[in-house]
Amino acid sequence: MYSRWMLLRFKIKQFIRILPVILLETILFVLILAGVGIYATRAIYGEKAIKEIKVGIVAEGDDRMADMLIRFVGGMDSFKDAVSLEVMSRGEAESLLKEGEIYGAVIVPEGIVDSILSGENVPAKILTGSAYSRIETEVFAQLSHAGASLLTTAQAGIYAADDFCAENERPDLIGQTEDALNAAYLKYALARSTLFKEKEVTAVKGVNLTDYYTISLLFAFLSFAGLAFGRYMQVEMEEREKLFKSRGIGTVQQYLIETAAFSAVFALLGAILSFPFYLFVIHNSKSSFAVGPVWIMILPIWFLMGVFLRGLFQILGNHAGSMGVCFVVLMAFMFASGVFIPSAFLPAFVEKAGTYLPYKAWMEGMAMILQGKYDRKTMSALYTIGLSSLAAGILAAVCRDRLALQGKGRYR
Amino acid sequence: MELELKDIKKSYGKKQVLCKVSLTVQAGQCVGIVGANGCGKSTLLRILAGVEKADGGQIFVNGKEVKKPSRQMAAHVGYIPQESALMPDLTVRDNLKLWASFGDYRKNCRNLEQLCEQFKIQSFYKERVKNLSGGMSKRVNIVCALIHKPPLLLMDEPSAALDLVFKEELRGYIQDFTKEGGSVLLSSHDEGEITACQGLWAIKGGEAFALPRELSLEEIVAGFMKGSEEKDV
Repeated sequence: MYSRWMLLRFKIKQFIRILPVILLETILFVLILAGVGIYATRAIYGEKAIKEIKVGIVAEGDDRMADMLIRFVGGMDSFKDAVSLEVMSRGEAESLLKEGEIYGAVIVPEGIVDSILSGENVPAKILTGSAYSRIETEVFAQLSHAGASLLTTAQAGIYAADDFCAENERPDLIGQTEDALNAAYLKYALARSTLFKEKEVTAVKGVNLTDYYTISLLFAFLSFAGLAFGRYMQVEMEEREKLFKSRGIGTVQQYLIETAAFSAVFALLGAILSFPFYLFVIHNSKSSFAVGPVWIMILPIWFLMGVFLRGLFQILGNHAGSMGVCFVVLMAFMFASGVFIPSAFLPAFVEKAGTYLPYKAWMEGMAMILQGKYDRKTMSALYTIGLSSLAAGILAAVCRDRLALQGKGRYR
Repeated sequence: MELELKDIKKSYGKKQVLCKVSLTVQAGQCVGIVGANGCGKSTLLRILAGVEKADGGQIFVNGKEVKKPSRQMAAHVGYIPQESALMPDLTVRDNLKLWASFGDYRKNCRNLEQLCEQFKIQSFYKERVKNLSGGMSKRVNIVCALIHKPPLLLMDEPSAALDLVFKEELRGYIQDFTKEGGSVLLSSHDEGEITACQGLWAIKGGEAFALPRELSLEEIVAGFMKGSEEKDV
């Protein structure tokens, strides 16, 4: 038993001794990654980052009512902040679209206002610069789609009221009802846009976006630090580990000892790094976060992260190729779990996938610490992931050992 | 301690390394194993150390069969592997303490003091293993294998990476060890070590052959080792 305790003690000592190297490597890695990210953003968008989406409006025919409609839409608060409209000819619009000077063009057909009033609804054509993969084009396409949906819904309401009046033999009320409904619709639609502007978007469980990105940075940093530890993990049994085995410390025991040692050091590192990040959030945030007893949960949260990472290495391996695979897996997990962009802003299918990935639980665990309230559901999820990783890691260790005995592993 | 091996077999997948190895090491005897690279010398020593499992055959210690060598042999043997068995980021002292913890820690620590002096490792006792030279590291490995005072020493090319002075001292240590009744089984390509052995075996084609002590190194090379690399499985 004493030898197992000594092995644990010296494994912890070994991991602590390599900490400065790990931290330096991680800082360099994060700096390189951030540099690449900034460079790539500039290379793609240059100086044309989203400021204003320019859209061309082509009014077919001399339609005074269409001109009024354009002025009305262009003047709406929710629209004019993001989009600037410019009236032009069709040829001019197509040429500017091709050159990438405008991100879309709306072709307003002749008599569009009359057609809306008569219920005929001649549709307006929307051209987007699909040849350009600029994000602004995509934003414009989404805006147009959203606008069309809103109009359709509003029209459905008005037609339903018309039908109601006709069926109840009060066609005389149709005009009056339409006016009332239009006024009410505009009132609530505008009020809603104002509400949307003022209400702060919550990223995860009551944590605002700035705080969210601060804890995400901490999370990403620790994940990359965990990756840097990889090459010090004893994933395959070498001569030394086989000798330990012959002296009574079996494969599973060695795995448990190394997992405990690594996770303990990782928990310590996580706790030490968490404090400045959390204190920064508390100092700068508008929320009423404070240091509380639940902060002790920082240790089990990062300990379980260590168990998870150790399991991942045991399954995937820790030679150069496997480390690359681990990196890709971690990046995918982090992305889908909302580490880089809050899940609420991700496509629905990615957001859905993220809820089944382990990193989501850690993001919620970190938010739990900030809110100062113990969340049993989050902690249960973390313990479940930790225990599953441990079981999977043990299974992988035993399988690797069996393969090595058959001369199939890297070390026989 | 007397050691006897009968029909030891070992293969890695389809590759058969040892097919029928039988040999004997008497108490107080130093026995050498020679053979071409990859003939199975190290595999045989690893089986005896309990690091590898044999596919078949029997091992007898002092006439008694060892049923589970992977568990039972460690108490009887001190094994010095070719590769280092030390943790590179720890100091020599930490590594020695770790190896002393296998078995009776206090007794092993007392042995350790004596061995450190004998193998002159006090001067780099607090150094990290990764900063040591190959020879220094080998000396620490030798001490690790001797900590629990085993009656049988298994040495896999022990003098590789050692300087001439220390090679001579190691030879002297082996002689003293055998005089005290200990047995040594070593694999080597070193002429000095081979000539110091009282018994000599050659492994060829997966089988062990006893060599007459009168044979010179040239005769051993001509008779047993020349061309065996091509024939070996």
